[in-house]
Amino acid sequence: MISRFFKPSLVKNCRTFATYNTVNTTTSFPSGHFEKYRAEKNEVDPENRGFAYLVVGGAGAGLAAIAKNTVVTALSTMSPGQDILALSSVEVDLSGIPESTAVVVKWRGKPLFIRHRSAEEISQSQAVELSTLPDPQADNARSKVPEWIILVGVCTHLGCIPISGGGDYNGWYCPCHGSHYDNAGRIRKGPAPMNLIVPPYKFITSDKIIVGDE
Amino acid sequence: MSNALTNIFYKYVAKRNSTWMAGAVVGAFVLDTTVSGFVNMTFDSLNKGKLWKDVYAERVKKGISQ
Repeated sequence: MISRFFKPSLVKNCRTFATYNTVNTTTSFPSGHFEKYRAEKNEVDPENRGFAYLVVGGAGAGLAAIAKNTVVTALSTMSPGQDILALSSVEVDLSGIPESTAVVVKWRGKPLFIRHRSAEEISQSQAVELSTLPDPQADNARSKVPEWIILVGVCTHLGCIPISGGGDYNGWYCPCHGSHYDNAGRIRKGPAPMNLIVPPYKFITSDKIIVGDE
Repeated sequence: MSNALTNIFYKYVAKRNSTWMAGAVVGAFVLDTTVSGFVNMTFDSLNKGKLWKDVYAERVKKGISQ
């Protein structure tokens, strides 16, 4: 630019030996040379909003994933620890229980009645007509193996603990209001509305059960 | 080709706020599942044999645990 204004005065009275290559005197530029390297113009969206929103949206999705993981981790510290969960199940060894005897085990603060039933007790219980029962339930629906009946020993009337061996049906008898249960824990006579509850249990070997492990 | 993809994204997801929110939620879920799954798989394969699930399988085979 300076040479455009000063060149005539600078060189007017002196002999110039140097040759200048100014913008005005360059040769032509090979413009067809670079077409194949030019980026393609987006006809539909010249501002390329799609790309910008994709970046922003991806960052937003990542942030949402981070937030979700943080909240879930923070809340999971409030879940019960292993020592509490260990109290929720009990393992019982059934080999020491002779026939026609019942055993009481504490499970989750409630008594569990486990009875080793003899053959006559089983056939007696299975022969009962379901229509005569106040709360009809078949015997094989209440026990996985007919010899072993496992019940929660809380009367379904008002929560007393029934006495084993009492009552008119060779099962349990609740002394508070006189509910009679048979040897499968079904209510036969008395004010209780439902049969004794069968807890969730499973046989790990033929001699051992775990009650309450889900 | 990338222009076509970004145009599709812009036209069907980014133009309306309702689809944008839906896309963000779905994208976050997919991203979380994919990245978690990938990282867990890599960690498990790099530490094979030392994790409890591998030790437990060995113990079951030997008969110590069930």
